[in-house]
Amino acid sequence: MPLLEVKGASKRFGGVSALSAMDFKMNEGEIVGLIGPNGAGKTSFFNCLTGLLPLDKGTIFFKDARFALHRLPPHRIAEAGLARTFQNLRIFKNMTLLENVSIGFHARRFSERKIFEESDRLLDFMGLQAQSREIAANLPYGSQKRLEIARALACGPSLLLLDEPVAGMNANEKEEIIRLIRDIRSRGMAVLIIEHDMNVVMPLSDRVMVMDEGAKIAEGKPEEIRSDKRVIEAYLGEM
Amino acid sequence: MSLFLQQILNGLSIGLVYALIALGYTMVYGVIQLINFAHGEIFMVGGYLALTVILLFSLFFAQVPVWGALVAMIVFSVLGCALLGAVVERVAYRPLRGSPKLTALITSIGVSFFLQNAVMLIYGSKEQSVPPILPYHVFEMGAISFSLMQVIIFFTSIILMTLLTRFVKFSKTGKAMRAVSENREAASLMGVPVQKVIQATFVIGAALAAVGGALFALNYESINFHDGYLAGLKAFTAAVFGGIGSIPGAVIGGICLGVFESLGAGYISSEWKDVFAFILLVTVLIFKPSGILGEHLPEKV
Repeated sequence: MPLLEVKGASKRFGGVSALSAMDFKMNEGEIVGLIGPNGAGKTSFFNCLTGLLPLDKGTIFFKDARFALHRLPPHRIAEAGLARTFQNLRIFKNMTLLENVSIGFHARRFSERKIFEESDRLLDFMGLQAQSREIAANLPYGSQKRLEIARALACGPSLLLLDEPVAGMNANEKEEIIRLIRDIRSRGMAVLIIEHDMNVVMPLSDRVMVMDEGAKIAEGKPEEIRSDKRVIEAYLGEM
Repeated sequence: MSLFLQQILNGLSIGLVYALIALGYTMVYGVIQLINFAHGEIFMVGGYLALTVILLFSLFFAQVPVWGALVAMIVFSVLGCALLGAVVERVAYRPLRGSPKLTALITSIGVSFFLQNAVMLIYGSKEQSVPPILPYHVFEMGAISFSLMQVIIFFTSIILMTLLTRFVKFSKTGKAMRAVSENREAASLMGVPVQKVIQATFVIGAALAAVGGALFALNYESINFHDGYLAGLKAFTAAVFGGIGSIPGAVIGGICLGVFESLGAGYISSEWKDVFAFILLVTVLIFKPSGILGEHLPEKV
């Protein structure tokens, strides 16, 4: 049974189709790369999944249809086990790292003590423990990106959506993120990644989906995608 | 010199009441960027609820000790106003979430008129005198003196402000409030129930205003249905002065405003007391519109 099942998801903004009749499935523990040119609708797809944008048409079912995400408000979706990061960082800049992560635990019925311990553990996992009492705004960009992932993990997701997790990072930081994503998957979470860097997406993903103009134009194993004509035309050809 | 110290002391006690009200303005502004002009009326309702309790006690429970009446009065007005704050948020502001800010602002003025007139219909348009329940006791310290009421105002406000600061800093809901005020969308995507957090903010703001209202009614021994207007406007001034959205700012703003007003009243004329308060508002808006501790500019209203 699929973890996530999207059927006929459509979203229009005036005359522009951000999503048109998208069908998509994901299984537990899978890493899927989502690629496509700018404006292809990748972030809109994330926004629809997480409840920021209500669908015009279609359904999104989660965990064997236990949750109908297209009918839930964003905080219930997070509670159901779907968490995300953002293309442009949206950490809580005036709060400490520890506070940022503890917000992710809000919907889980943990004691204050447990939230503190678990937040500390997550910061450690992300290599940020030494700065846990610092204000998030004072961190370098790469650490802020890692903090955002830590905060999303605090929601206890079964599916983690990462929107360009390595954008703006240097080679070492990219390696580190790739290692972390593999580690996250080994803990049983599924990961859906929007990423432009083919050297990151291709080796990391079990499967790649390509979008263009709001529609899925291809889906398959990374090596199949590399050789798909339509994909090369729409996207890879540009590079 | 003794006049100076005396006026500072008097200013401090009224300033703390302004600060209690200003906290509600600043917290609500912090989470939804709304200047809730009905907040002054919540304060006024708090005063009337306190009056009601005092009248009930003097009629039926005259043998109850003073402190019992005092506690009952504060608890009753806090609960009443907290409920009122929650209802106002649910009925008047929640349906407007996502609409232009001006819409909610105009609505808050409407709520303010509604509450004023509702209270006028219930209690009448005449000023109501609040029977003094506290023994009139004056403490002398050298050349300055202060009343028992001032002592109560001082300790109640300081305790509440300390509790609030700790609540916002450490509690789960307090942290969620800060998260919502920084980035509502991101907070909701992390599982924070934003509507509940906003409602909690209104409830806490209203509860603080209720305490302010009860203390105000006791201190001045009278209350009128339009008392909330002036007190609300001054507390708003205090919030802007301190930097709207900032909790320490509201406290500092309230105290500064009270002291400034009181010094003006002492040295120039008490008739001009309110003028001084608004001179402060105009000066701040001209020279430092973001206030002492504020980061962002308030809307022009």
